[in-house]
Amino acid sequence: MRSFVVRAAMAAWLVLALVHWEAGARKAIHEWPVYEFAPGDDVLPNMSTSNRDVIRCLQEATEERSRILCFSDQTLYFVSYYAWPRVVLQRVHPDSEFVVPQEGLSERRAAYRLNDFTDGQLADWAPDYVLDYYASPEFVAEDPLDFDPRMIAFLRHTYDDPAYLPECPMRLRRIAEVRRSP
Amino acid sequence: MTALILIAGAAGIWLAGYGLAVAITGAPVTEAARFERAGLALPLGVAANSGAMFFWSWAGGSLGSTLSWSLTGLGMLFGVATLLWQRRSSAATAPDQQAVATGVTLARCCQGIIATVLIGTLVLALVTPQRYWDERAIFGIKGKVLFVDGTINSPSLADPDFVQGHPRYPLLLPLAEAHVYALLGRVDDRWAKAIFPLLFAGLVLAYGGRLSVRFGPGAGWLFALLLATLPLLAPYELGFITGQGDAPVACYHGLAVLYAWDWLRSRDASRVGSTGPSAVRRGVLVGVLAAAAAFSKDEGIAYLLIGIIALGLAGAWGWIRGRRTDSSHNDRILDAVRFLGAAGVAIAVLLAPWFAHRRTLPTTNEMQYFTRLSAGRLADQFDALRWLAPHVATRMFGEWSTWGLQWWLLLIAAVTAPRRILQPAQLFVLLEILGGVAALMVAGMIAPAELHDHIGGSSHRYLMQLAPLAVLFVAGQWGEDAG
Repeated sequence: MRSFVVRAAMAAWLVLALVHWEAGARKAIHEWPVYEFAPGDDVLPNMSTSNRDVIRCLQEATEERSRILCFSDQTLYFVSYYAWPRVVLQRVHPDSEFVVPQEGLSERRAAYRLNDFTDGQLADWAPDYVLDYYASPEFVAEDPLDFDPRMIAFLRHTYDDPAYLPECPMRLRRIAEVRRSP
Repeated sequence: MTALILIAGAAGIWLAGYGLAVAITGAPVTEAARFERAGLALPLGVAANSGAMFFWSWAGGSLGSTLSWSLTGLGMLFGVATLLWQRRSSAATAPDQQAVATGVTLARCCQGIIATVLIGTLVLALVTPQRYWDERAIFGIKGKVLFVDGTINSPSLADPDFVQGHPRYPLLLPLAEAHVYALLGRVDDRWAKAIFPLLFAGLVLAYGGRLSVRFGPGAGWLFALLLATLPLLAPYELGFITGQGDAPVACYHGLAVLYAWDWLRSRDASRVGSTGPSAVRRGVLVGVLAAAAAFSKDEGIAYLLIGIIALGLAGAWGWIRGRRTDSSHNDRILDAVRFLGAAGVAIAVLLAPWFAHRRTLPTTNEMQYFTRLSAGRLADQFDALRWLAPHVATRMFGEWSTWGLQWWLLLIAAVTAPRRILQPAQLFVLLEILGGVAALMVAGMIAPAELHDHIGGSSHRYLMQLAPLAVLFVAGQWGEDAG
């Protein structure tokens, strides 16, 4: 009896494995046209369109090794990963530190704004650029953020779409421009 | 050219690891042991390479192409020297003790399927670049920083506002990825993923070899086949086909428990022909593997503590059992002292520098479980168990079609051979699994993140780290010692 149970269990195990490998192979074949042998930096997989736009703009408009201070209600891990060796900095709001991003869900996350910091605090970061990038409509409504015309022009050229508008407003400025602003 | 570089890098890793495996466990004298050493070489080589890079940088040296190619060359020399020494001394070794043909056909069949699975895992890993959360946000970004900045003391890694996940996470995987980039001379995260199928191959081959030594080739490789075909390990998208950290922990933790289990079995007076390395050698191996788990992901630290408790309880039980039939208590105590002492020294020597360095890193978005662990917090969050327990049980047993049958097989193995659970080695593995599941529940109770999001989104990956132990337990329940 035990021998039968053992053999039946192992047979079930191997059948399940076959099912999974078939599904895995099918998925790889289905996804191949997306990836082929292109590097991840070109494909920018598994992220929001707005994050892709930010990454492409940063790669285009900023120098390697520049320091980019970000004010955003978004998690910027992928921006940091693909923008490197640019150093992406973000002071995470304590109320957002352990919020786990959920795919497909947009919720207002607490975030800092540029005006929350003094010039002295900005200087401590020694940034070369400041990026404002908010997805939550509430953030944008409270502190209207215009689309950066240079980023718009670049993205329209990149996507070959003269009417293209990013999902989220974003603005990239050199630190000198920020300090001159009232 | 990329392929040649990757092959050279893999050869350096494997040869260095092989030299280490033989240095620690002694030269193999049977085919099963040769498979085992060959498999063990891969995770040992990856860990040793990353460890060497860490120590070099910790001592003030620079990471980069020169170091990586030097390590590759040294690894090749070490491994080739080991193989040559082995060949010269092999004429004096005993003939293959597994001369019985029984199970050899089954073993070859299993090995063929395993080879196909491992090749398939490598292919699936390399057909896509890195594309998931942890592999990019936690490990990949650190790998890129280490490659460009050339030091573990990079100001970016020490900056609390630099955007990276878990700044205090260990560096085995990021250093391994930086090593690949240094060999290639550029960042290409697709090729860095080649590390992970190598770890999978090492895990499966080491299990196959070691279990073949214990139970004969047929049974040993059948259990290895179960491990190789566990859906949660591959082709699950967050298993060994990606650069996530859970699969490497499954590898190192699974191997550490395997060799601790094997040591406990070797002490059982009823076992026939207690052969194999000395207690000190076994202890060093377990210590190195356990340290590698802790240097891969923070859960490895918890497994160190769980391992100490599990070994202590299982060992005490074995001592109590042994008192009735065995009069050589002093010998057994000495054996345990040697094993535990060797493991402890290995862990301390290897991890102390990492813990010292870790203290210099920021705590941004770190859960800080040990700091948050208190009786008061556990009491306050006791109600969380009402969601946690059913959730974990569903993951383990209800979602078998997605994550695999390992936990059901464990139950069936326990029920069909209940007396074997009382063997110290089996009790040890069971305590490791129960301890791991308990640690998951405690983490859910004390973490600062929202419970459903935190544990709901990670419990299946955590259970991946324990999955090899389920296969080991089943092997111990159903395997019969080879004569």
